[in-house]
This record gives sequence, structure tokens and C-alpha cells, in this order.
Amino acid sequence: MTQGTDVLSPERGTVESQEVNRVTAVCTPAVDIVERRDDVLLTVDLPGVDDGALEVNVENGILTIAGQSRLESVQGFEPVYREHVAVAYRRVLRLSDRLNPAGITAHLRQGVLRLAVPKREEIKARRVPISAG
Amino acid sequence: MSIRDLVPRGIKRRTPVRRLEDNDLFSFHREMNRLFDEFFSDAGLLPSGGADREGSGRFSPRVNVAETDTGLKVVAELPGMDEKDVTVEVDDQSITLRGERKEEHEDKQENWYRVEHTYGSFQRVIPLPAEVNGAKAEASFKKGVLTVTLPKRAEVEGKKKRIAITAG
Repeated sequence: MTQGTDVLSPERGTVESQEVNRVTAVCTPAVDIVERRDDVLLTVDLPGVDDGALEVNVENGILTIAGQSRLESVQGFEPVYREHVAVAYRRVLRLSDRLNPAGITAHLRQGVLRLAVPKREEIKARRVPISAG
Repeated sequence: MSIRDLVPRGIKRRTPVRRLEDNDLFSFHREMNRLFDEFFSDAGLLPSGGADREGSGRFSPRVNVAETDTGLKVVAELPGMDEKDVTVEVDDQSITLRGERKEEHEDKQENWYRVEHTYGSFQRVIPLPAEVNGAKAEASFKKGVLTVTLPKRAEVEGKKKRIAITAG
């Protein structure tokens, strides 16, 4: 992957539809990015996505979040209004060199993915001890 | 040199904006774009989530309503919320979803880079295509998706009938 995306300027990704016979839209999920003392926290809305249908990959500093939502509960029902469909979520972000992708932790809860990307040890803010004397 | 110096004298009074509006080809182009957007959003190919919700700056859940002969299902996307954050009210002909998506602030030392999510309180009143028995409504919350199942009222069930067509 050679997309020139940056963690501060994410780009729309593309996804290939896996099931031809199903209406599957591609959706770029909303992301909040916040820097904390020791890591950068990414919050991504992925309503309807199971742990099993979610993939988070890092390759060459490119973070890819891909998930498939399912709306199985309405099978057999006739749609009346439709504002959302089963979608393939995809978001591609470039991680800064100051982050350590090996230490990423991911939690999916209530349809929201939280990714904590730790900063590299050498750039973490440190308090310098001052010796009196 | 100012930009005015580049504009030939005779054209000064006609602003570019006006000329674009007067241009039939331009308005035709815009109209075509609008039609395409409408067509694809009607077909469910463009989920109206991201851009629309960001534009309004307020959280509003996306809702589907589906029906069978005997019941209705209302499915709402409420990521990051659970049953404590949402109130569901049903009367004969409509369902009301009310709640709040709270911003998470854990740490004073946070440095925000990007906020695409919308937060805040919301209320949606969704008219239902049939009378329902609110007393028998069931709701469940999974993966940030709320599903409300509503049985239709018994006397309504039989109203819509398929009429057999005989050939000849």
C-alpha cells in the first residue's frame, strides 16, 4: 500500500465487495484522534461490527481498519425506511514515526473501536529530576 | 498588481458568481449532480452517515424500519451507547428514540487532533407504517445497534391482503 495518508489527514479507502449478490456499501467511519501523555487514542465508530468481522493491520506504518457490519436481525422483513445498510467500513491512516505500532491495543465495545497507539519510549515526556546543591 | 487589473474593463460589473448562475450549462451540471446523489442515496448505496451528520454538528442516529405481516422492526445505530443512555417510547403510530452521546474526557492532558464524531443529545420521532401494540414491544442492544421489535395490532394484521389474479 502506498497511500500518502497521514495520521492527521486520513483518506478515504476503497474496498472490494466480497459478496456480489448483496448490497454492500463502503463507509468511511468517523475517527476521533487524541494525543495523551504516553499514547495516541483513536476512537472509531463501527456500529454493527462483530469482533470476528473486524481487522486492524499495521504495515509499513500504515494502519488499516476494516470491518463488515451485519444487520441479520431484519432478515425476512420488508424495508419501510432505510437510512443505513450493511456496510464495509474502511479507514486508512499513516502512523507517525514517533509511534510504536508493535504496542497497539484494540478494544471493540458497543460498536466503538478504541485503539491505543503507544509513543516510542525515547520521545515520551519525561520529568527531569533536579538535584539541589 | 491587484486582481482587478487583470479583469478587462467592460466585464467589471459582472461578478463571476452571477455568470455561473446565468449559465444554463452550469445549472444543468449541478442539477445532474443532485439527481445522481439522490438516486444513489435512495438505492442505499451512499450511507448518509459521515458527511451529513458532520455537517449538522449534532449526533442523530440512522434508523431503519422494516415490516412483516405481523410486526415491525426499528433498527437504530447508536455507537458507544448502551441501554442506560437511550429511552425508547412507543405509541400506536410512532416510536421516539431519545438519548445522549457523551463525549469522553478522561485526562486533562489530552491534545485533540481530530474530532469527526458528533456528540450531544438527540431525539427522533419515527412514524410507523402500521398500528402497533406498544405493550408487547421488545428492545435489544448489541454492538452499538438498537433493535426494537413491535407486534402489529391484531385487527391491523389482516387489512392488507394479497388478491389472487386469475387468468382468462
